[in-house]
Amino acid sequence: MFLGIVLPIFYVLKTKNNKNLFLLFASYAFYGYWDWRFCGLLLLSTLVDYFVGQKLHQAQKATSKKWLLRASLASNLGILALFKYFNFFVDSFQQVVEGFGGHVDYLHLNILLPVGISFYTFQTLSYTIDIYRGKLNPTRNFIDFALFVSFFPQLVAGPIERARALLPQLSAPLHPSRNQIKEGIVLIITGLFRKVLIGDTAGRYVDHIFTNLQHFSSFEIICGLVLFSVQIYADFSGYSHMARGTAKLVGVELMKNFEQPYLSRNITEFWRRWHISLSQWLKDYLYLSLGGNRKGESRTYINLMITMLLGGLWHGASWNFMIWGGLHGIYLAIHKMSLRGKKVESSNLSSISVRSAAKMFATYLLVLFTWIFFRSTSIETTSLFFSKMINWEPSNYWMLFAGITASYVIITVIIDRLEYQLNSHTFILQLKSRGIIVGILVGLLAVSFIYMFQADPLPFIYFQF
Amino acid sequence: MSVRFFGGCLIGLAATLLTLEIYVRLGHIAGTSTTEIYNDIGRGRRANMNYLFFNEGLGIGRFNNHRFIGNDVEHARKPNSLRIAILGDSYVEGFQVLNRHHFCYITEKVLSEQLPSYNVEVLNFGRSGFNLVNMIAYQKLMVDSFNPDLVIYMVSPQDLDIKNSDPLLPTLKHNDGKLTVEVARETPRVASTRKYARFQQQSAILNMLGNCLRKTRTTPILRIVLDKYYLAFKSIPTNESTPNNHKYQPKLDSIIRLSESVIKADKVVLINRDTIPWPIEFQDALDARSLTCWNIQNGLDSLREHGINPNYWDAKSTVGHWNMEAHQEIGVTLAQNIKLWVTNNKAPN
Repeated sequence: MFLGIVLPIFYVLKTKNNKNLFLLFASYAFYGYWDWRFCGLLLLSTLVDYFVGQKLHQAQKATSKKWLLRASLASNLGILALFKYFNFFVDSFQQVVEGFGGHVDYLHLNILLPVGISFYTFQTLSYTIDIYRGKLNPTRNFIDFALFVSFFPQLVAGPIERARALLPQLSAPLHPSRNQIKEGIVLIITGLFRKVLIGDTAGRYVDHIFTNLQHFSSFEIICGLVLFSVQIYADFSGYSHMARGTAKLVGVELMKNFEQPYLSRNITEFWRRWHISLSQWLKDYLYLSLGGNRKGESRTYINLMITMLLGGLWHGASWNFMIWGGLHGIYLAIHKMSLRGKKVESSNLSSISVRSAAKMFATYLLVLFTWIFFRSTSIETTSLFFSKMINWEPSNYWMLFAGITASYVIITVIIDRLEYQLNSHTFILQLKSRGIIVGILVGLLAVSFIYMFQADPLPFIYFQF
Repeated sequence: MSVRFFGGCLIGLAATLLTLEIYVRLGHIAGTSTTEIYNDIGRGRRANMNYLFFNEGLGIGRFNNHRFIGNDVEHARKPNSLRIAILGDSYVEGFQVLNRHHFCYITEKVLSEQLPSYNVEVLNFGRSGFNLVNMIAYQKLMVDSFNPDLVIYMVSPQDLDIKNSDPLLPTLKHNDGKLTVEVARETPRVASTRKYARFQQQSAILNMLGNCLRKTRTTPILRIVLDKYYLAFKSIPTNESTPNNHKYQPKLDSIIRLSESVIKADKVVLINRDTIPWPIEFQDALDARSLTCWNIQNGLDSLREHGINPNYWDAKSTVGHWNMEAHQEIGVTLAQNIKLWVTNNKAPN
């Protein structure tokens, strides 16, 4: 409905300034639909970094530049820390003190986490950091910058765009080409299908199983975990498709956020294919700032671990997410050690050998193990999960669960394989018959809508981050 | 737009719908219709059909050869059998839980352990949407043919509203001082329902479409589309059960009186499945006929004392039917009551 109102008005507007102003207004209306009070926070973040960016560029002394950057980091990360991590650190501190027999007055704030704060905070930080590093000149157009921060297709769940990539597009007149419109429509429809008919439907099983682990048997729980791996991928990649598609409809190109990650042959490749915008952000602004691999072998692994631990913490204020991040850090460190300086080659999936398939499966299992911690709502849930693995319980529904899980895995693999083979997320457009393309899209859209209408849709998983 | 283009559209659409139909069925995203219109019982469950439902919970089970939930069962009883039939509404039918978590299954399991000399069978004749009149009609039509030792009616104050919500459910008609069971008469409406049901039975996608149409009958489309920006000009009727909602209908008294051949004091027990008491007139009618009433709330109260709401579902953060913990408590409580009843009443069959 929102697009149905925004797009016609956008297409009717003539000048670049009018279009950008309208998109800015639409973006704030989009964000305000969830909770209008947090539009102020978005505006504050925008204002701070706009002015810091200007001052950074004007500053001559290195110390001045450092202080300005610190101001940007402090304000953005401070807001993020307050809304997202305050209660986590206070509660953890209280638990530690009480563990030693002490007592601390209970201080827990009732704070609502603003949607998308982790995403737009990182996005604006990339702007100030790039100016500091001399890689980018600040924009003088406040509307363009505000739109860069609040651009509605990617505001609430990414991809986390770099200012270098997005600002120049917003600074130029936005005229979507015919190809962009076609690709945009395909991405929106296929993204909706992924989110609703794969992600949401898998999520129903996952939610019931993980909320009632004690009532499900060991095999059923494993199926629940596999279904979660499908759910989180379909949900997030579906959203990213829709974000890219929507952006294309207004003439903006956003980066790809997922490239068939479960077809990775090793963990390093997985992080080049999963949530690409975040992993690249962490690499460029955290890992490299810590020194990357330039300060010796052991420091490299420490930097890797810190990056992944903080990457885990970015997802949520919980020890489960830190464990998840830490495990990936360990995987990456071990893989790096095993490489001994060799570079990781991209997969060539045009022909998959048994060896490659085995590597993909092994990588998937490693990732699957980490999803236990990501999905579990508490340490108790995690413990119960492992206890059920150790004390195996048979299931009288194992065939049913196996069949359901297999159907989700197969459809995910088929779609990913086609995307990789045809080197495109919009591979449907490569069909020769336009009629067939339209028929397929109409079918996908119709069934997605029918499902959405009669079922309660699940929220996007990454909205909670 | 050429013929070729439209032809391509149809081919693409058909191929997509077929593929999605397979995927939707294999992934149990939606199923085909679970009901059929029968000449003998009206709208009933489809025989020998597995089901998987998502509502407050995840329900998995099977409709047996006699069209009710459970394993296949024969009319003829096994030696030393103890056969208990339970009638009720959606709380009894229990689509929200796996079959192994259902209180009928738990009651059967507990009783089998505690009464090893009996072949215990607890038959779930619960049906969503049933009221007390539907239950009595169903007992006459279906339950009695299984010759149960004990019939348990789980009745809430809501179920005393004898207005038939679905004309295709079996009901009772008052004719010359007698009660007769009426199932779906062949009206134009019934004929069109049968035709429509056939489509819903063939396709999961069509079944989803049917659910959409059903939803629009109860919820305005604009409300679904506009979500929190929908301004409700009409107050939405609440289903909440409060003491004042359920006025006792005098007609019910005559129905209970005329059903004495069905609701026999030595074979029938009634349970109020709700926390709200029955209207005093209904309780008086039961007392007048020396009908036994059992209480399952003590088991559910123990859950509440431990901070567990027996109707709360964590996965959906919603209140609804009995959850798994409630089914466990009810199963155990029911088993205790039945064991006592057997000790006091039952002669081995």
